[in-house]
Amino acid sequence: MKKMISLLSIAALVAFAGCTKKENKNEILLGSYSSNTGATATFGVYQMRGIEMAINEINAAGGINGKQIKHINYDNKSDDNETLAVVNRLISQDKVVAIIGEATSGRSKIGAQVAQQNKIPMLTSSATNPEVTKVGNFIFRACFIDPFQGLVMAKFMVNDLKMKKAAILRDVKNDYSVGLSDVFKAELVKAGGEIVDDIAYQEGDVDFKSQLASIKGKKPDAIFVPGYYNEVALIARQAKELGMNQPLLGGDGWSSPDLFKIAKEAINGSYFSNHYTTESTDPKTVEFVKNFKAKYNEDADVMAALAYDATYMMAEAMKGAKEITPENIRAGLASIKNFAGVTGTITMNENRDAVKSAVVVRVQGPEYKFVTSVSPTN
Amino acid sequence: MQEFLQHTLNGLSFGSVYALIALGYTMVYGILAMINFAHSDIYMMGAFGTFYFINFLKLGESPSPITFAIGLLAAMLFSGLVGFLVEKFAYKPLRNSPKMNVLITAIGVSILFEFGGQIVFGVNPKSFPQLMVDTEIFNFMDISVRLLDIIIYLVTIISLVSLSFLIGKTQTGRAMQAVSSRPDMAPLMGININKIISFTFVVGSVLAGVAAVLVAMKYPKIDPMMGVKIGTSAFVAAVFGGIGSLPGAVLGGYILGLGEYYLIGYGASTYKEALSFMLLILILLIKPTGLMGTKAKEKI
Amino acid sequence: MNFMAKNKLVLFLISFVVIGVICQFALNSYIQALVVSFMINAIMALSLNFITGVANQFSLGQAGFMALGAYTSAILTKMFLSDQWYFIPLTALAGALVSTVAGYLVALPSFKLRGDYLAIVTMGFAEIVRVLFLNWNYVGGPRGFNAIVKFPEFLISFGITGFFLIITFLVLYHLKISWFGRNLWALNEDEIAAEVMGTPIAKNKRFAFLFSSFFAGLGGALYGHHLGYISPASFGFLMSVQILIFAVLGGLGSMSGSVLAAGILTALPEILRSLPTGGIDVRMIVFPILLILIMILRPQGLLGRKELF
Repeated sequence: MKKMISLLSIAALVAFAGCTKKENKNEILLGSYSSNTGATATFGVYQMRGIEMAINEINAAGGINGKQIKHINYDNKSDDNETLAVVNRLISQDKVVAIIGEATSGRSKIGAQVAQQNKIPMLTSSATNPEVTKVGNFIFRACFIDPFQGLVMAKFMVNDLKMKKAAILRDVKNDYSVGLSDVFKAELVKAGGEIVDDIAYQEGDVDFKSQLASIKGKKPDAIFVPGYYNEVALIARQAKELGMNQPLLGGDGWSSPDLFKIAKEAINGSYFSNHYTTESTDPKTVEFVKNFKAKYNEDADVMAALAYDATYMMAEAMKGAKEITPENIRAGLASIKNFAGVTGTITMNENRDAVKSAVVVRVQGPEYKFVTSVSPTN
Repeated sequence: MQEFLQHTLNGLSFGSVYALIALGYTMVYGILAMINFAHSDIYMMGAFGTFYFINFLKLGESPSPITFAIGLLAAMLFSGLVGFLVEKFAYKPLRNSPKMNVLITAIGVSILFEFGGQIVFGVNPKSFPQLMVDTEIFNFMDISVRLLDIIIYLVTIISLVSLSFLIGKTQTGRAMQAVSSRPDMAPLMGININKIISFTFVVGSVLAGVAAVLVAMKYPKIDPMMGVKIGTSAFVAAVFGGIGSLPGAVLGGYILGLGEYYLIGYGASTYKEALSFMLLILILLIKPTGLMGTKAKEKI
Repeated sequence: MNFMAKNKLVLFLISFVVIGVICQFALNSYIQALVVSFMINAIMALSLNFITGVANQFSLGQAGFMALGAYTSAILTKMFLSDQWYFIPLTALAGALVSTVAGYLVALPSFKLRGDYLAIVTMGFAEIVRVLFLNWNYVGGPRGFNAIVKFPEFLISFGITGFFLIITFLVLYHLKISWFGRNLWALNEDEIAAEVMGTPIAKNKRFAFLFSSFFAGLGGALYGHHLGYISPASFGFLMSVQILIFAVLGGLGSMSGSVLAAGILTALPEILRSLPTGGIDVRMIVFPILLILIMILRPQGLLGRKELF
């Protein structure tokens, strides 16, 4: 008897907490989920800030067709179960018309399944695993997919740096790193290059000397390190300490002001594929970097920039819609062509992946210097 | 050959760090028969203490042996203090509780520090200021041996020797031994158990703080989760070497360090995380008291 | 079971079905998903409670058993059974069996380990399982295993998960109050005396592990089918700690306590989410504080070893 009562009271409590809010016809409810705390908090916090900043700007400029956007963000605490709960909450309780998120591929896959099932469009700003958009026609992404960056850097190494032998140092715990590494490997060999070493580390490691010593012995021309800046910074330092002078190559996971702050000169002369360069004179990019710094007192990173663009892409999709419904937004997102964002000019392809050029940049101090740009049709 | 030497050197270097942290684990276990899960986070706090202190005094711009000494002292003070407080408020109330309860509490404290640290310190990794210029001391077969490496070895050896002296030859040390072997009888001998336990905790925590600064100097990136990996490995080292045994902790540290680096260097890098646990399970099954641990006879 | 108990059980089952139907129509999918999450959490908490609360063997390895159950069930449904949801109960049981084998392997040599040591071994076991899956590309490695088949309707999910929860509870509860359970409790009180009395310690410990890992594997399988995606990262140490918190709050040794605690702690973050806490991770701050306070102030948790009835 008591058990039934306690069961029922808990159910009542949850139902109470889950009271559906009243609908405000003059608001557009845009949801987002991010890992603001926990293991991948750095991604989530910057993602959220990018979205917030964009929404503030859009609302200040009058909103969408006169209506203000109301942003509802939930922290999934870097946890899968929470992700399921919050995406469900956004859709069934808060009744959002669209969702932005998440920063990582894994949790994006969880959210995507729920969004697709409920026919709510979801736009991930930085999940790069190709499988995310395969979940269904309501799932879109605003960033490169892993195969593209791997291809870009392989081509760059062979065509631009005219180098043939590469070693790979991958983060085995991270599907982004594994994805890029696998593609880089395949593409380099296809382009006539050779992989002399393929060795792993794990995010959270601080010492890479053994991996680097092994690589050093194989004498590569360049080292492909498609990981996140936290480890790449230390890897660069230690490589220099070991007397290794090969350039490092990487992907947009390097893109953070902390990269140079931690690595210092050791990272100079290395290259990575990115969405923009700090030299960009594009007024949009310059404005974004300036405003972000002013608002949050920290430098923007690639997560913020992508989330910012994703939000504006949503706005674009909404603007064109006669009535703001999930289906119309979906159609709007699918038809995005040559959208001018701070991370490049974006067109949505039939797989609902963003088609945009990557720039390969060279790190010089806190700056990313433009070297070349690679468009996906190459 | 050159590669082997490089891996060996790396392994010894990192092994020293494991040894320093393992000493802390082993001391606490020796006295209280508890695994201080939060030790890795006390380590982290030491690094952050120094970080804020040095930046506050703006000493990061003038690296020198003096800055180094100041940084070291700051870490020792800060982590010692944190260790003291944790023992006093979280573990002391449970001194007469079943072991499981203390362990659970320790887990709680550890998680609290990690996630609380994310909130208080921010989630981004921070660049640790340069406390001293790490010059190359000598170069052998294209392997560079640096000042910091030498300091780490020295600190580890000195710690081991002084701790052994402390425990074996001083009054306090003997009191510690008494508390460890017969906590029920020790107060009857006039030993203030609380003081001894607090003291042990502080010493262990101070060592962790020292280790943290040395690591942060060599790998200048700190974040609230920095203790997790290294703490787990150091803990395994302590158990492997014989928990409760000081030389065991150091031996365990070096063996684990070398093991991990050889593993990485010779191909199986993706399994590094599993190595420490496999070693752990192996030793617990074969000789649970560890390499240098003594079999404690259980009196019926 | 005597007449009274049978009556109670029937009453309970009826109300369970009624609640299910009400939930299906009255609640939105957000709350529905929470209800299923609660049930899975309850299964996990019960599995841990049995080994740690009833048998007093501190295990920090539930995440490892969960992972084995989850991956097994996911592999079977996707690779061999073409994603048909009605096989889930079978594959979940298969997952539970795989997990049980692992439990046996863990228990075999561990019987001579005490307290903290066992905790570390189980923790190590879970980590090794995680690293193995991380390196196994067939199941995705770090990319995880995606598009795991889910139940098509809440009512089905509720019914099947609930069914498994009821079985878990009934089995473990009856084990607890049985001769076997009382033997385990004797181990808890004084292992040496128990041995002198003729209790086969090692065999009993192993048995307890088998049951615990079976249900943990079952819970893990259901977890995978609920989320639709699993990865090695989901089954880290933090997961084992979360389950521990559920069991501790309810009371180590109380089966209904685990269910109750699972309910409270599943609902709590959602309720707190309604309050403006501004990006502060309530769960990972509140939970450990809760854990510490419970250990210091009320180590028996909510119900100690008693039950709600």
